Amino acid sequence: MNDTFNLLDPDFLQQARAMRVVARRVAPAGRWAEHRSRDRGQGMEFRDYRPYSPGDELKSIDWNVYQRLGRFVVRLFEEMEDLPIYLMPDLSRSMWQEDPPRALTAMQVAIAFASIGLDQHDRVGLLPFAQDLNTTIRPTSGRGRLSLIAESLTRAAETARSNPQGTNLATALSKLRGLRLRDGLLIIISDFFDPHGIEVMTSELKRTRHRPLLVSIGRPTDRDPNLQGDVRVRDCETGDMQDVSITNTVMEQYRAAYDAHFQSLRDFAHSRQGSFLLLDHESDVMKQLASLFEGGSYVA
Amino acid sequence: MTFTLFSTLATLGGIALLAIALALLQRLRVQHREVEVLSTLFWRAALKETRARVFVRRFRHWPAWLLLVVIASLLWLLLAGPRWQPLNPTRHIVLLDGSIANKTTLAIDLELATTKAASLPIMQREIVTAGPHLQTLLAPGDPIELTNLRANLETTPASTGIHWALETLSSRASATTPLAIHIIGDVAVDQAYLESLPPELIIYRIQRPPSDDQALLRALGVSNAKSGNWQMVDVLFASSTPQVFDVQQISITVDDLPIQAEILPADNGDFLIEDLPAQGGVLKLRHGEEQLGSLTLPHRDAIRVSFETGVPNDLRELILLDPACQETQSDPEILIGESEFADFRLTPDDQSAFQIESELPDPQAALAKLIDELALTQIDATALAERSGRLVDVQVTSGEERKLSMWKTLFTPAFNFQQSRACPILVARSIRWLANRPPLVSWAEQGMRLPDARPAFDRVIAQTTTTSDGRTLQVTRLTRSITEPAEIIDSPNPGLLAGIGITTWLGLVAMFLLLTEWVLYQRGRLP
Repeated sequence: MNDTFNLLDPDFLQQARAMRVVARRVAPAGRWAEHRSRDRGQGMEFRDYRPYSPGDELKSIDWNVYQRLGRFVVRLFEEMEDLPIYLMPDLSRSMWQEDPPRALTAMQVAIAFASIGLDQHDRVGLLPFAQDLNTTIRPTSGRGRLSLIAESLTRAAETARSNPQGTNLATALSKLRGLRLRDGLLIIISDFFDPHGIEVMTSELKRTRHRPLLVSIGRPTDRDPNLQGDVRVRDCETGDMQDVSITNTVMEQYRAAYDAHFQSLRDFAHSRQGSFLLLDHESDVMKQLASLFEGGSYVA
Repeated sequence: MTFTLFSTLATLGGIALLAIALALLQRLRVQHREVEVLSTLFWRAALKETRARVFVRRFRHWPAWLLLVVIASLLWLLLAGPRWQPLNPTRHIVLLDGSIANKTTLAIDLELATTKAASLPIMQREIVTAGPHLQTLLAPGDPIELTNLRANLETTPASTGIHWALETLSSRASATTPLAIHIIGDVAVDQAYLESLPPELIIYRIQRPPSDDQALLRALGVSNAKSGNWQMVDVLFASSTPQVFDVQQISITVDDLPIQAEILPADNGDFLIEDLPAQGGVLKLRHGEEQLGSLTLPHRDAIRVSFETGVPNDLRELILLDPACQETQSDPEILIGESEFADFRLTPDDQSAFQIESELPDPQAALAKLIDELALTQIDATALAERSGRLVDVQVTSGEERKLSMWKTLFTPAFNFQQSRACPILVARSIRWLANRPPLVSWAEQGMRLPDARPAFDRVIAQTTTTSDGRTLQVTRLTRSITEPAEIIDSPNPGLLAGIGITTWLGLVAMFLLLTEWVLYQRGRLP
């Protein structure tokens, strides 16, 4: 296995296995797993009655009700199905700009969630993106597939690092919609520095039906850059230049723009019953992820 | 447009240099340090927000706006050069005594003058020095520092006094704009003259601090010897610091050779040295090791005259009675006779009454001066013309040397001229003019014109006065007054903040507001 980035660190995975993702509800027509489904069928736990209709299995008729009421009703049981988890790590140029790169943190987060999902028999899809969505890795399940996912992620990362591209989350999300995947947990792991702006990002996010979990990979200097005097900032992805005379006022406006940007992401996530996590690239990843898993579980 | 501190060329050059420097600074400002960042998204948003606030966002920073308006208005007012319209229209002139030959005293006076001027309204004060002529050291509106730049610290003692300066300056006073003249130092002003001044002219005096440790002369001059000896002069001097002036410490040298002469007390506390030889030596007075002053004694050797035959006896006796003249038979300076070789030539009545041959290149231009110098104005020309039946005229020509011709009949009883008071004066002046021996300026003192001042005596160069015969009269402070000195009230003391112009106040307020703006900006209180 080509594991250049050492994603399958045993200690790291051991910590991940202590966490669980619990879905409030999963979309119907999934595989059997550990999550309650909106489907009514072969489960163990009784949920409801409904009138009999032609085509229903006779064994599902509750004969006791028929004896008392003279009507045919069918007993419904809760179906336990899987929660599809779609991992979208950002592998754009900005994620590779620093040392160590933020992409490595993003990959660790992705592997952690992949490990959690595969352990609870969920289908895990790996969809790295930069300028576009990489759809070559299909969703898969089974505990033994973690190494396969790690290998695929490593291969995608090396390709992205050797041929860095800009960020276009909107295009990636649009393409994701086109895949018509079953509703699930969409985990976007990125710095969210999309040059197209927050409005384009949130607009496209709102069109997806998946429950969002937005993990932002950042560092303190993102909000408080250590710049003084007259500087010409150059965007590492677009090459755009911007002359800036650093003053207190400009810095305040910068921080206000930064805060507004991420507040929009946070508001969006909450509006969709999702979550937003600002993860410090320079701190321990697993400890920060643990803040999502209250009591060891993350309710999606 | 004129400029106070610089010439027009220097000012324009300075503007050009400033423009170039500012252009370079402007260029330096756009040399941004390039920094690669993950995203310029927030920088663009920040700058967009900043620009929007300045130009298009709704107005919401009234205090900041007001502060900037006040600062900009103050700077604009400074640029416009504001001037107070004074409540008191009195103009002030601080008058320096330009005859001061002592550099230390002059420096003290100059400091007193600038201190006083600094306390007066800037547009209503000036500093004028009364030397050989009136010189403005500080004009209204000029920065006070210009005084020292313009002050000629090379002393130019003048004998023309300060009354003429007061006369000249008094013409500036009027009923609507009174004039206050603040005289620096102890220069004497005649009480009678002071009382004759118009009421709109107020004279103040600014007292010089007493000089307790340095002996100074107040006056130094020569006069004819009381003994009547033509070849001797008396020297008179006066001290301005009698408390430290010890006559026993006075030493006298002539041409650096010590002479033993008795110093006699004279009137008014002055001192007299009698019968010093008038041989053109340089007299120096020392008080201990300190030189008090120096004076070039006149050269009063005898004028050697010789007479041709036929000279009227009255004229001969008149000349020989003059102690300055001495008859000689050989190598005379002045030959008196009727021949064409005579310097003092007696001519027939059919020629011009007075013919003057001067070495001056343009004697016609100096005619009035010559007539005055030869005392021809004292002749009763009308009576002389009536008696002679001829026109009494004066002809002036140019020649290699001085010659003088006049009617021989003037010195005969025919016209009765030899009995007039003008005759001996004319003869004495003529002999002295021919021998180039001008009358002695017996005394020079400040506060009064020279007794027999001529333009040549009024031209003062450095510490020397050049007499008309080319001799040099070195002078020191000429402050001896023979008139009743006036008691002049002291110049009123200014207030602590007096003399600070509106420009200074505006500049201070603008500086304070700029500092306030900077502090507020640094603390983030100002957008």
